[in-house]
Amino acid sequence: MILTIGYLSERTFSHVVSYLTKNKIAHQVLDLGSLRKATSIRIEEDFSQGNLCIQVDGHTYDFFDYNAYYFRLFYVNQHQDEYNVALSKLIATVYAFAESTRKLVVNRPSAGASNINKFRHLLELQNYGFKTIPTFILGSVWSAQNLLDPKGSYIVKGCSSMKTKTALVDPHIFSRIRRLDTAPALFQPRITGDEVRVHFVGDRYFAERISSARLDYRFAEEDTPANKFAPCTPPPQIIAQCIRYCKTDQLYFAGFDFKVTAEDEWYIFECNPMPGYETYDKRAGTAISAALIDLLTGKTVPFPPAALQPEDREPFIPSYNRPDVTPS
Amino acid sequence: MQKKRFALIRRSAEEQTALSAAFLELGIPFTDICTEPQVVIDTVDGRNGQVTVFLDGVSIQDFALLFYFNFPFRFGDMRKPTRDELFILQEKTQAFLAALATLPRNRVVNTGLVFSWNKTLQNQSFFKHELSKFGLAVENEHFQMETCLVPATDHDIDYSPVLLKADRQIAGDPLIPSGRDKICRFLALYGLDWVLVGWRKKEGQPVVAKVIADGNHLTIIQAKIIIETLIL
Repeated sequence: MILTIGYLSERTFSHVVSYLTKNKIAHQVLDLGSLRKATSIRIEEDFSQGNLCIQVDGHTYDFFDYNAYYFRLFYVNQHQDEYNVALSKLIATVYAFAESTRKLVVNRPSAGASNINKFRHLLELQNYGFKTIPTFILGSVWSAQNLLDPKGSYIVKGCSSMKTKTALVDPHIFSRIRRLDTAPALFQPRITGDEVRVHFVGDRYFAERISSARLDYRFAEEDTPANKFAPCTPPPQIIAQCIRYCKTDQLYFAGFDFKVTAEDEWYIFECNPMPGYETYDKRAGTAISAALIDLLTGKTVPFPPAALQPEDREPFIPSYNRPDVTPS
Repeated sequence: MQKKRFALIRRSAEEQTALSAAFLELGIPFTDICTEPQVVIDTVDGRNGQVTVFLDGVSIQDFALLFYFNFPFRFGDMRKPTRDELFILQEKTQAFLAALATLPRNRVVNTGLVFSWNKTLQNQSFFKHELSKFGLAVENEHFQMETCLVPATDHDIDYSPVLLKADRQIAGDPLIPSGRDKICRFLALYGLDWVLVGWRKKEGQPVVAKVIADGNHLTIIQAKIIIETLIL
């Protein structure tokens, strides 16, 4: 039995739940959007047993009853104090449980958590050998005027995980530079090329190349041609780096974003630990959902141990340092 | 030898007053970085692995140790924030944390708070799950929406700081020796230098009721012990 927690009004969560229902996979849904209609919400945390029990209007979710968990947890203002307190408490307790349980959670809060901070996230990705674009956070008008120009050679986006549309630093944006006093922003030199999105479910991956005339392909623009999507195969080194990152962070489901130049240089933008994947999944014939459910139902293991090769059997102290003492 | 410089990062002069008073009483000069009403995150430069960070024109690399506690920004009042205010809060917070995260980990006190972002180490339940795994007795939590707006009565909780350094010394009581070791192992695992552990007696035995990594709950005596332990 799988426990899913999220907002049914949110497209990705709704997509997962629909897939589970359609394929008759045993699951239960705790719809956070329904909490504001509840008359009773109770949360019991038993730390000695490591258990969590949530009751919403008499419906009990005893977390010991489930084999795996799929969570898309984020806070949405409920516009009423007691519901806001209840939602905050519920999210905090589920986070804590997800972090502590030994059962499979897609994903634990700490997995890929640096994504909340783009600058720090890129520094972390560099440690895995990924190529990143030089990145600046600027809050000083003077510094910004020294670094940037209005000729479109830089792009700007937000520093945090809040979704922002990437924009070109053109004369219009440049004219707003004094507003950096209010809140800093993140700047990078502009690099042109296709985008590649790679979803990883454990060590299985699904990659799609996106050719777009837009600066940010995720946002529709009236006067630009439609995006072109095609499955692709990233270089083995990129796949290996992604798997190493996911494995180290115990990130079971992730969406990596790359910019690929005409010279086939792969620059990483981010690794999303809570990927909104439904549009990619639909184009992939729900192959990503199928892999996700295989993982949650235990049909596959997240990171299978590599097959032991004969050369792996050599011990740390090599044979030339171990004289053969077998009697002749 | 150049004298070591220390910084106290706090949202305003009304916060962390025990720590600032303790610095003064100990006669240790410190730079007060108050994020309210405004701290300018000048430049966080990620070129070629070189990172230079200036806050209000001061390079934070110059400090031997920065005392950090909590989210550096917040809303000034209780009214519903606007969409712009929410965005500004997020952006300033993450820019500030990015700046701190570029420093070597041993340069920021309780650096685990910087790296745990907002999901784990700000979370009472997480502390309790983890301390329970380390074998400590912790109080279970019960939440009921119907009564959630009633303030909790925590007058019977005793707070004691637990520090990782100084041969695992603990200031205050009534901590049991076996508890100290377990909490210190927890601190080491999560990049914390100290926490305040709130204990309540249950059937004669101390159980963990709260864990706080926030200097606002410190007394001046406790703050002095923390400063002396960490920087002297």
